[in-house]
Amino acid sequence: MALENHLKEYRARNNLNQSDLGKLVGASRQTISLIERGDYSPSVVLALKIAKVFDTTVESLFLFKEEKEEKTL
Amino acid sequence: MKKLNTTAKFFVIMIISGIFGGILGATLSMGEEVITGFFISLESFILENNLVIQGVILGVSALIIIIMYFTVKKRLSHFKEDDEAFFDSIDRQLNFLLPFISIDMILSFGFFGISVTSFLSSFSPWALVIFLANISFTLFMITKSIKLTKILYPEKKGNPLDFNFDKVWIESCDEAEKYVIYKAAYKCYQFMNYAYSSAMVVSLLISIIINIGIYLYLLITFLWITQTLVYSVYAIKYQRGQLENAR
Repeated sequence: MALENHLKEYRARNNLNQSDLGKLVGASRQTISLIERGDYSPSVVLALKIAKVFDTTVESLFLFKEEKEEKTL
Repeated sequence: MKKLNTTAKFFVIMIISGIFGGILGATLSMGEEVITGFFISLESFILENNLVIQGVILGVSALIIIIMYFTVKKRLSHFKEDDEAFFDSIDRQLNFLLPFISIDMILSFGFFGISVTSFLSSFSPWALVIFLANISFTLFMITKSIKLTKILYPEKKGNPLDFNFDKVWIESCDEAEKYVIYKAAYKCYQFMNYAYSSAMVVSLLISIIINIGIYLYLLITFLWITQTLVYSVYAIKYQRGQLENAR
């Protein structure tokens, strides 16, 4: 997965559980869980909403790492 | 180079499948009597014992559904919002319950269809009773299971007895849930393309040794074309900027 995130740390710092965060950004608890596990990359709108809740930037929450592609001849 | 390999691979698979089909067809026609006898015996066995088979399979299935339902319900009564691992585990259990109930409902239709094939000669009213009882049971259990899902996900909307349930339900899903549904639906589309072609091949092979009439081919063809058309029409529609999230 190319998108890493610090969502869990931010959530813990703000004393929010997954359900609380979900309610604040209009997503389900399951979606927050999927994002935290790196199983789902949120849309720009959702990423911005999450960043707004924590009063931070999307870049500080989500980290894009380019995957190294195996080059085949 | 890679494209050539893919093309060559495709033709090799086609040739091997053709040879395999030819050998299988020839074998089937050579052992015609044995295979015809087997299919006739199997059909007679199913028709004679359909009521018992129906009762046992649907009964066991109903029992499993009840056990699964009460297990989830009991666990849900102890649930705490902060326990994320518990949440995930109960969510997985719920994900198994609903498809299981749907399979039970499909089986009911299948068994009832088999009963109706002997409608003029030996149709048992018990077949209708079991069918109606099981359909009522599955509808009841789907309603109850949706209620359980709503305890876990209060934002979900829709009544399964409402004809607009699918539309209302998906509208209450967020982007990740929709993504999961769309991805699963595409996998289903891919799989069904293989399933239709396999069903056609199996029907062709069976028709070599036993008369299955034309309706099976008509039905498979109709369903296959319907699926392809529905997919294509909606793909064109969405490509023209009618995607929900594009608005």
